[in-house]
Amino acid sequence: MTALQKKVFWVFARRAPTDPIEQVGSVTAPTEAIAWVYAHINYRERAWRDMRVVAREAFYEPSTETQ
Amino acid sequence: MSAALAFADDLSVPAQESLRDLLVDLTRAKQQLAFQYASWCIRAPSVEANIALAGMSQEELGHAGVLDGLLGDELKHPVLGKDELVSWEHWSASDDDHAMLGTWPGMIVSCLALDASAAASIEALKACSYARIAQRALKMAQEEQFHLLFGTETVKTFRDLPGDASKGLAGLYARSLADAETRFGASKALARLVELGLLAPGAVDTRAKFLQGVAQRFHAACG
Repeated sequence: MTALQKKVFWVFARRAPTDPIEQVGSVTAPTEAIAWVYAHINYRERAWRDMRVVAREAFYEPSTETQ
Repeated sequence: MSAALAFADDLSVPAQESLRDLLVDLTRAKQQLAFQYASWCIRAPSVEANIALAGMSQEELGHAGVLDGLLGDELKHPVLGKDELVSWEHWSASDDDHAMLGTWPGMIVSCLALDASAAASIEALKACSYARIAQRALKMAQEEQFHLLFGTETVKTFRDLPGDASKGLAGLYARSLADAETRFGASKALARLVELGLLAPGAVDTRAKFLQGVAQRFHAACG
């Protein structure tokens, strides 16, 4: 079985249906599902909607060689 | 099933008694969960998990308060003191109800089973014809989704525990669920509410399917 490594997930959400989605913060978690749970509970000081998480490593950034 | 009822006084005496029994058990279960989550909220493996546990503890205590309020205001039952369970004054390590569960995997799996048992009853109560119960059950069920997801997803992290530590978790879940069902499960009270027309005939089946679904997710998480 594969060990679950903790990863950083960026948390995104918006305040109102017409607002742009913005980055709220980040959480460290072993799976994206639990990252989503952490995000909902850790960032509930405001009434966010459409909260999503995405692994930080999933954000593509070109290497200096390809730039 | 009878039409929606707005006040406890509209219920028959047997219906009030069955509801009281059910709500007392659910309140106790939620106080127990709140105590365990709070006991662990500075001991989890990450700060995010600590905060999640603190939030879940607040929610469970909030649910217990709501149910206790229904018991007191609507069903004329004496208030169930949460301090019996969560204050140092009443702490007794020799009593299972008052003992903090000793290991992180053990707490997660035991609380998942107890949470599943309580959440299954809440799920069945969403269709209660006594409107005040149904409204509150709906809100509680939404929050319970987070708790169960937290539990099952955390179980995935136990796959790589050393030695036999992960092997006993399925047995622990089965034992904890059986214990929760015996102490707080409320199947009999729900069946009685069906007989009395407060719940649709499918309510007991709904509860059983809900429990089955959580068990499947648990076993899938175990790998």
